[in-house]
Amino acid sequence: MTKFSIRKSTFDKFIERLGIDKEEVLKTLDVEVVKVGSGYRYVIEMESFFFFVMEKLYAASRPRTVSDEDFEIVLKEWVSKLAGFSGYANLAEVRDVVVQELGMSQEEFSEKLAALVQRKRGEYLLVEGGDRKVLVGTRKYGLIKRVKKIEA
Amino acid sequence: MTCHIPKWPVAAPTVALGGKTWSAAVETLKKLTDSYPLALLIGRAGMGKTQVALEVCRRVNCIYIDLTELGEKNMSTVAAVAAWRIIRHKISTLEKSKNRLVEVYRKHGYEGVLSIARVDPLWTLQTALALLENKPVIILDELIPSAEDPNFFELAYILHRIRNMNLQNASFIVTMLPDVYEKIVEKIPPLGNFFTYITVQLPDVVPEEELAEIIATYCPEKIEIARKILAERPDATIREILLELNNTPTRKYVELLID
Repeated sequence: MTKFSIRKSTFDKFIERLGIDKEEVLKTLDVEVVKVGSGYRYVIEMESFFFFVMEKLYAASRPRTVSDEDFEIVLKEWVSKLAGFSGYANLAEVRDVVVQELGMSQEEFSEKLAALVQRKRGEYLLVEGGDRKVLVGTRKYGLIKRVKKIEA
Repeated sequence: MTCHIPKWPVAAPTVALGGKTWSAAVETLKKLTDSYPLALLIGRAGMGKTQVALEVCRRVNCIYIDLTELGEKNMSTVAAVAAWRIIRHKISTLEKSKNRLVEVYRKHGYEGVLSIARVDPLWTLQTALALLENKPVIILDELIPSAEDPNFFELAYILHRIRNMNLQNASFIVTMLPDVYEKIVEKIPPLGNFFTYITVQLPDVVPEEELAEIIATYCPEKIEIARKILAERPDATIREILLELNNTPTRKYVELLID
């Protein structure tokens, strides 16, 4: 059983980039923490580590089925985060972050948004103007806004 | 009861304004123009920007300029048209006037005013405004019709100029689409920061609770039909609802022609 050691801060950065929960890694791989000089190093069993990372990467690369509910939650969140003074957000910017977060394709985004806008008419407004546009249904739009009143 | 539902393009000086939010927008714009050189009215196409602007005109001394009338849009033409409107309005009372701009207008008409405005738009405006007793509001409707307008930044420069020229005896109201507004805020931060103090935004959709009041302004007996239209299409604009109440074909018409 071959083990390797790595500086704690370097390993933390690596895990963060992978988007994995650090506590889960430390527990699953039974990582030892060793004090070396003024800092700390992790001692990890190499084979388990590689299998663990490979599995996570494979899972991340698999196309995911995004439910309508998840799509709307994430969309809503980003529309609100990216909205400007007028409450409108750049639709292409929203799409870019939503597809990244949900691991979906741009085409799937367009389909889901078209269905959502249809399903909840009056809640989401799409406006044609803007420099970058996104095809939704048969038309291209540049801005999106959520206009439904927030219930108390 | 007789119905007076406005026809295309809906907004007109003879059309009444309905809806308490829209009336509040008029009042806020009046207040903003008392304190700032510029106020913005933003809203989706068809949600009543022009009608609100015209209502402001009904209540205060105003010069309304629909920028789609101008072939060339820049600070000089805006100044020239505003000055020309003032002089034309006052000309019968200016027989003995020694105002330099009035003299130019008498000799060369609008072209003379424009040629001076090309050299010095601020002087042109100030000289024309000196003919008025009361501070007017100059409304610029459709100044930047689209965020994709090839002259976007030149047109936005007009707003910059208005902000900076320190005109004491007039203020401006500019109507604007949300995408144009957002682009200016993003690309021209000094203007964007200023906008946060001077913006009035119309509702993006017709509030259900105001629909009856709006429709009653034009045709009380069609309130129920309007409710049905809005229930079916909650994102319909005021213009779309009014046109539909008038049985004017809207979106479907183009599709039918293509078929």
